[in-house]
Amino acid sequence: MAKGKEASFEEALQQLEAIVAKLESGDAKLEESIRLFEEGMRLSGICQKRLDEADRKIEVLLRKPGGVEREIEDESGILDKEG
Amino acid sequence: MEQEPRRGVLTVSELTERIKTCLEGEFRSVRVEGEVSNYKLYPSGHRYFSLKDEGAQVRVVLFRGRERFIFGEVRDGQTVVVSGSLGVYEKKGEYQIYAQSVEVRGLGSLLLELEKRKARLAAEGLFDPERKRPLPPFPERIGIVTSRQGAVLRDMVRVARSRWPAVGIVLAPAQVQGEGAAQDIAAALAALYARGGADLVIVGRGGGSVEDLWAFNEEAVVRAIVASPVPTISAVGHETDFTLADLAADLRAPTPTAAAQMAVPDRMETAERVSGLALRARRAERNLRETLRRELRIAAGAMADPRPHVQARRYELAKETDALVLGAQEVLRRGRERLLTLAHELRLLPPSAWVSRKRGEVAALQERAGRRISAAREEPRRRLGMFQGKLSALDPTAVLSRGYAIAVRRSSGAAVRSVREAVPGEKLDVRVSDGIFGAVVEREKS
Repeated sequence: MAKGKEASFEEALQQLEAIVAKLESGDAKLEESIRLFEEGMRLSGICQKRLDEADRKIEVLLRKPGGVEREIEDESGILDKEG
Repeated sequence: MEQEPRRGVLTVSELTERIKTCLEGEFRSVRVEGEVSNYKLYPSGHRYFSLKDEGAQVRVVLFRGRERFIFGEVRDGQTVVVSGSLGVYEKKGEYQIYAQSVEVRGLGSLLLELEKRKARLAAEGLFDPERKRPLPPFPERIGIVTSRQGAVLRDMVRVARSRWPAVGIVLAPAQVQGEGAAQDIAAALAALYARGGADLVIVGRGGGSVEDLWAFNEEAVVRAIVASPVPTISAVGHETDFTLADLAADLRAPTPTAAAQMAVPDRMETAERVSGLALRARRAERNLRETLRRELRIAAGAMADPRPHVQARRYELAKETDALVLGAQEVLRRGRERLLTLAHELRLLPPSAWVSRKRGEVAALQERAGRRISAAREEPRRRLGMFQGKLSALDPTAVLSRGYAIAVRRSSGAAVRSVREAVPGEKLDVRVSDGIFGAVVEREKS
């Protein structure tokens, strides 16, 4: 994971699973268990946030002479378009 | 002023009507071979073109819905056989063929060419099952190559978003049929790869004729799919359509909508999994806290006043020691009595074998008494060691190694158990696992 970048959903979920397994084993020390629990709650928050957020934007790569142009289109633009 | 119709003269409508009856009756079913020109697909879905040879031409219409009866890739200059009926369009005075089907001449050789291509690319290993990669379980972003117009893109976006609203979508639009479509699809894929960031790529289009789907059989498209740095899903036409693109992709979806469904996980299922994990973390953390709290309570109890414990143990020890000593004394007393009896008997009787036997008995008794006495001396020491072990198991400082600390007032030595007992400025001794350090209460905090 790149520094400063929030964990991806998959990374967060894997870490959360590992932490829960460690907490459930019961052999963590006091500070460690508190740290693990807080980290677990933070990760489940990230997961929840990623589940709740909606992108609603589509990046369109338009090939033009001399390269590719990027264009951001609102999803409703694509969804409303009739074919 | 009314003009009388002259004999033998027809109106335009009358003539046209007679032509129509004549032509449509005579050419109810025709098969005509010729070269295609001005081939055009209209937005209405109808296809128009002219069929010609060196000396003549005739207009052809293929109505919307009949594209399934186009066999091969129709384009200008191609020789085709049109089957249909002749129709007269009165308003323009034109006649045309209403086509039922259009077959490209030499289609047989086209399919043969496709088979050869398939065998050649398969021999290169491009379609090998070992090349197939699994799809990422949680793609952050998916790339789509398809036509920008039409329902296919709309349906894919709608399905993907309904399952996983957070998924990013990068569209590389491409012309998916007609002249140059294969190169356009390959270029769109290349643009997606160059942009990067997509965790998987869907390439496809909606249903159509064999001709419409033909681009997905072209080598350029096959190679572009094989070159993908991320897993690919092909979604060409309907379930019954198979193209070389399907063989090249990591996964073939029966339809574009199904591809969108395969590409992203279901939000509801995953949300349940996440909240299940959070619940388990809370439960485990609570259990752990309770265990630690219980240990701490026991330890704090012992620390508050260890004397009752020690005294009880000391009393127990003394009692045991007394019993042992009394026991040993009893053995000695009995031995002495027996000895006196024997001495008495010895005085009354003459020395004999009996005497030596009794001597042996005496020695055995003496030895037994001696053993009991030394055991009586060792036993208290052993039991003391045992009690010391038990005491150290109760050592409240043992729990300190888990991270607890006990703070006592320096003035009174009383443990600080509540924020209310913490007086700002007061000096405390804080005991941790390996010693004690001084501290000063800074301020109250709740």
